[in-house]
Amino acid sequence: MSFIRSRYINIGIIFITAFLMVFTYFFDIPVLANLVIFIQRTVTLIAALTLGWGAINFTMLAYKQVQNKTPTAPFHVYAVVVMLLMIVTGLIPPLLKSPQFLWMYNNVEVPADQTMYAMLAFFVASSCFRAFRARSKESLVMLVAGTFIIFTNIPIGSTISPVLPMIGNWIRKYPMTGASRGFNICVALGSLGITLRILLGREKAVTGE
Amino acid sequence: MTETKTGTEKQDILTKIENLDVRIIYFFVIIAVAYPIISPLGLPIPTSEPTMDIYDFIENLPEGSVVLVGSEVGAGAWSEIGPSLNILMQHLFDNNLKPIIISSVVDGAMMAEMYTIPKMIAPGKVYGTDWVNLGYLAGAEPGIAAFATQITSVKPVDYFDTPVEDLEMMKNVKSAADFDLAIICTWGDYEYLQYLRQYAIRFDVPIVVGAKSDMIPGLHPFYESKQVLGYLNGLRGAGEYEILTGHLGYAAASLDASSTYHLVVFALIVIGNLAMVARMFTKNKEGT
Amino acid sequence: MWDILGNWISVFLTIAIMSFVIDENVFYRIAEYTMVGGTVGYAIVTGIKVVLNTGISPIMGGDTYMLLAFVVGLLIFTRYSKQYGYLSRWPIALMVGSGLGVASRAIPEVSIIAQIKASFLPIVGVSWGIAISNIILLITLISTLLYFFMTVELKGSLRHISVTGRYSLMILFGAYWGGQLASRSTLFIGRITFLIKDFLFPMLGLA
Repeated sequence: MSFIRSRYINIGIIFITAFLMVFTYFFDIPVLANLVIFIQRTVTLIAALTLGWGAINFTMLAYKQVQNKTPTAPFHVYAVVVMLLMIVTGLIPPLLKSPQFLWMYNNVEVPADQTMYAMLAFFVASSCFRAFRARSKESLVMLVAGTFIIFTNIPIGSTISPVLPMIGNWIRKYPMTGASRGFNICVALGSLGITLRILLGREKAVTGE
Repeated sequence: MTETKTGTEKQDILTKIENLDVRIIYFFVIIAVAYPIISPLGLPIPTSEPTMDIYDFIENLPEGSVVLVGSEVGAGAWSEIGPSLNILMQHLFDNNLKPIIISSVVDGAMMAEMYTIPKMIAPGKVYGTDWVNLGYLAGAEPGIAAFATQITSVKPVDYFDTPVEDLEMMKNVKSAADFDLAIICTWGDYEYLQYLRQYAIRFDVPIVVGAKSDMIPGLHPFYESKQVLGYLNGLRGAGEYEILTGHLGYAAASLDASSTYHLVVFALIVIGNLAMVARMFTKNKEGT
Repeated sequence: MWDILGNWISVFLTIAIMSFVIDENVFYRIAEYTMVGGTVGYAIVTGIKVVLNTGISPIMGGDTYMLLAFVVGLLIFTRYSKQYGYLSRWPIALMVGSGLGVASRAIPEVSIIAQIKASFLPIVGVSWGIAISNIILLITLISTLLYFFMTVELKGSLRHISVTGRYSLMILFGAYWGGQLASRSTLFIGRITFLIKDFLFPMLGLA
């Protein structure tokens, strides 16, 4: 019984599944190809079911807040109410297309979501003022390169002078591309390394104990 | 601190600048963005090479070509990616190409259905024959891989719960091998890499990306290596494309506000750095 | 009437969230928790729809293999049981293995080989400017790669490679910063455009 609970089952599942995915990429064997499609369909289903985790964890968090009588407890309860409202309207047929759900989504979810992201414009501007100082040669290089790149992103660059976006495009095409490629290659090698560690069971966080 | 009146005043101004209330900065940011929206400046928008490459490729696609359109963006970043998606879809409709909308982001396909399709000028276009929305595709990269191999394996029904096999347009489209182009409008680096890995390499599908401006440093090398045919650089790219296609809209109108915002940020950086230099100069003077 | 109410709610939520820049307040909290609750609620209904379409419907249509897939998927909810919690790791392991397999089979070709191939650009038969630019690209690529390779310490005269790598990365980070600025401004422009054109102008009769 302890073997079933052990991490070796997890490592085995990960290894066999990954091996099948890679093997069928290079070798066309119909039986294995069908098995791989079945596994991918299963993964799609599992991914959809994990969204239910979110609801359960969210509700449990709100419950704990209420139990502990924290100052944010009323807000958590309110959030759960909004969640239930979204679920109820979303389940009205046709699913996710009822006028009630679309009203909730367009007038509540979309503006709130967009404004949350939009707030970053304020914080970027204030952080540029407070923290962006050319104290060293490296930060000066970063500031100068970033400035020229900005002139390729906004129309006023070419209005001030056509040379500005030209320099920006050159920086983007040559030194930035070289550095970015190096960065991307290192990230790719790193992800292959992590893949190998997981497949060999060295990453305990993923395979569990 | 110097004892002279002039020296004390200088210090005060420097300290005031260094400790500037952030709400003053926020006020100038709002003014910088709001003014051009109310009264547009009409700055010219030159076209960049990656945008032109997309335009040329789509113009040369034969009528009836099937194009996968990945609406890989949620509500949060719709202001930036939505205009790219809108104008690319419009260009596809103008050229009688057949888009298939899909998304591995939870609300991507729904956003496209609610905010892109109603804006399209597509006279005579019929859903199911001229375009299709297949909805949300769960499972991230394994889901995308399965979709590429056999569409109906993970998408048996479309966004409107119609069986995919019943859709006229999908009768001859069974896998990614039947796509003539894939347009990925995305808010994250990971999505376009997934499509490169599952579509471009395996099925030789040309890839075009509508990206956020902060993704361009990571994306541009793929453009230079011709793995990505072209990309739209956020709102700027969408504005350029609107001008190319003749469908001027939100993106072209909003770029003035982007310019003024950047000018305000530049001014703030210059002021901050000048204050730093002045502080260093004052300290050196005190030291001597 | 519902459209007008919806518009007012959108405006309230937008301004409530923006009021955070003045100070955190109860209106911001309400808007924040509205967003969180709405996002979770929407995700759940989407999950239900996917389960119905890709799980339940095929099973009802006679695809008995999907019954096995469904049972495997339901195992994730054993997480909340102390006795059977270990079972929840199996579907997760399936997801991890699947994801690793489909990604890693193409990473070398997409992210490594093709990128290296594209870096070796001609320096003969092209103009001086392009030749020098191609050399600069190669130098920045190699120095960035070597900056991250920790196998051998870059000391003595090799230290210059490390310094070049650092400056190359600064150029890259400057480009990221420039992109971030444009990206954030665009999101903000969207909201201000909504407030002005969809709310203020109609209210003032300027639409």
